Amino acid sequence: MSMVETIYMPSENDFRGKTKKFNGVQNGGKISNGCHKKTKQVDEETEKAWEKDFCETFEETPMLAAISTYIGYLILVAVGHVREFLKSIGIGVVKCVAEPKIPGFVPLYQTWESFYSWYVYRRIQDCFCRPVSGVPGAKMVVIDRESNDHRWSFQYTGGHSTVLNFGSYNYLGFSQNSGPCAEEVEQTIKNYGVSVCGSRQELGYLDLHKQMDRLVADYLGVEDAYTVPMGFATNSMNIPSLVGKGCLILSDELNHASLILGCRLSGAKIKTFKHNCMKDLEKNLREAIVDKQPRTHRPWKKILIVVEGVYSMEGSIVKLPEVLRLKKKYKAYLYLDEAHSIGAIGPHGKGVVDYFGLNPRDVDIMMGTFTKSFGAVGGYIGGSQALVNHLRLYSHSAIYSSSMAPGVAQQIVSSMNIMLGRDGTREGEKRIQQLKWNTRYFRRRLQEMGFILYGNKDSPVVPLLMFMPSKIAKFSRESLNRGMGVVVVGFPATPMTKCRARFCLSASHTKEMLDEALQITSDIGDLLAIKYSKAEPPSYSENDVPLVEDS
Amino acid sequence: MVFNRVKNFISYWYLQYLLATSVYMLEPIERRIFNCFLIIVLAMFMYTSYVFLPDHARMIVYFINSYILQPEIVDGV
Repeated sequence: MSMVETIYMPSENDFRGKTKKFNGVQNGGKISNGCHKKTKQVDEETEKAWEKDFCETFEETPMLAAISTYIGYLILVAVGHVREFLKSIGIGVVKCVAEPKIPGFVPLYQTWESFYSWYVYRRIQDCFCRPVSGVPGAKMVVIDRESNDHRWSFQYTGGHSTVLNFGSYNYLGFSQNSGPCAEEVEQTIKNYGVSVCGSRQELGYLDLHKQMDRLVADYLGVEDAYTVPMGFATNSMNIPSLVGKGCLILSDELNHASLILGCRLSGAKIKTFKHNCMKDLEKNLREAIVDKQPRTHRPWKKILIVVEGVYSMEGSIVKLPEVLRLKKKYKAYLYLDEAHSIGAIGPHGKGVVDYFGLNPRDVDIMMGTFTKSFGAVGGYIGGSQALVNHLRLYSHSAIYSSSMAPGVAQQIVSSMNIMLGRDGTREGEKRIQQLKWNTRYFRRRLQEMGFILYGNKDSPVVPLLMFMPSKIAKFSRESLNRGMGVVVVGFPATPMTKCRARFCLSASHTKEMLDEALQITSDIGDLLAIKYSKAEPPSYSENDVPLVEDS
Repeated sequence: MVFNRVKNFISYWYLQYLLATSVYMLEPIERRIFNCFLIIVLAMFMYTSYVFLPDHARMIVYFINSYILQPEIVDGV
């Protein structure tokens, strides 16, 4: 099998500081015009081997469900407008903030956002932002509340419900208030205090932080790492110090808000490509290299590809081997955000690079957070020594924000030691295998029942599609009554017609808990008629995941 | 027993109607007004079709038949 490859290699060193212009490939002093065409015998078998095990489904929306959803939104918007009109006359109680219309002043509330929040979101507000108390581990305690004025305000009834927790990002089950991690954290707080009270560059760098940075670097397999006390800020405050004006950022269309904010703050030009579509990415890369900067046609200083490891709303895993191949071919840089995939994916729990069996040194900037898998807060960026040295000097978070609290740093150190097996037990391996088994089992059973699920068979985030906003409200209320707490999402976090419930699996869920959850989901699914799937039964199963037994 | 089955059947389909049209999310008074409005519109639709549909259907059939049996002569020759 042969593949025709066009090789066009501009490197930055060719253009930086030089005033003469040339178009062509510089090859050992000789300048030639145009592109070289070479035919390469590429072994497609080894390159596409990862595709055999890669199984993602994004089933199409059934026509009736789509029509009902549009009709439902039409009715809600129409009723909302009628209520607005009645409010302006004076009939009916609408408890939103009244804004006096003073001429010459810009209106305070934007029209569509406020309308949506008052007349659509407010009606099912009891399904979102529920207050919990205690540790949200495998089970959580939800505080009951009721509303007497159609969900404008809530009052506590005084009761609690203990429900199964499928809403917390607790992939490895480190959300505990007892155990080795908690004891070590308690000791550290007694030694170091509660806060550091200083930024990284000014008296905020403890030996604990040094140990934590070293441990993160060892865990990932990179040269060095740099940690930030807030996960969102890791993206939004560090991307501006890496790229600037004159650079191009190619980001996936479904990237997280922190990545989008960081990209916008940097001042670089941003282009989005279709979600996980490698053909679109390649097309954008080729256009970028050929067309160069929009007005001046100078070549881009850097091209940065920003992707996530696991996308939490879709449950899909990035096609990393393909992205690396494109990155090497077109000499771009790769920024990989592993917020949801570190600890949760891969045979050793080291993220999406481990899942595909690739070399972590190939990814230029490996970013991740400790919030989801390690029971802590904050984020890290790992990469080459030069990168981390630069970040330590120039990152906004190193200069302006206080560094990580000692208790949190100790939690990270303890949990990573457990995951690496350095505490002498097989606890880390046990958690990884349990999570994998849970993922496969849960997904297989749900798909066999007939629900539409999105995403990869190995992703611990399971979105269950329901399409209509009223169905997600009913699902949320019914499941809370029956003892299961899930997160439901609608517009604007998801596209308007694709409202869904999202299950976040954890290594602390036992098989009995999963069976109970599946029974509840099946009952509610029959009640609401959300078993839309017409796909074949799944071909994967949980039987090829070996569990580590307690010795 | 049969009354129970009928009640379950009606309540299941009422819930499906509420969910599909998002009337489930409206406040109780809005739900009542919307249901009344829908019933009035459906009643008017049924009354109109009961009164006018047979005559309309008969006229359509008559025109189709006359067109098939004797085509209209154009240019009057």
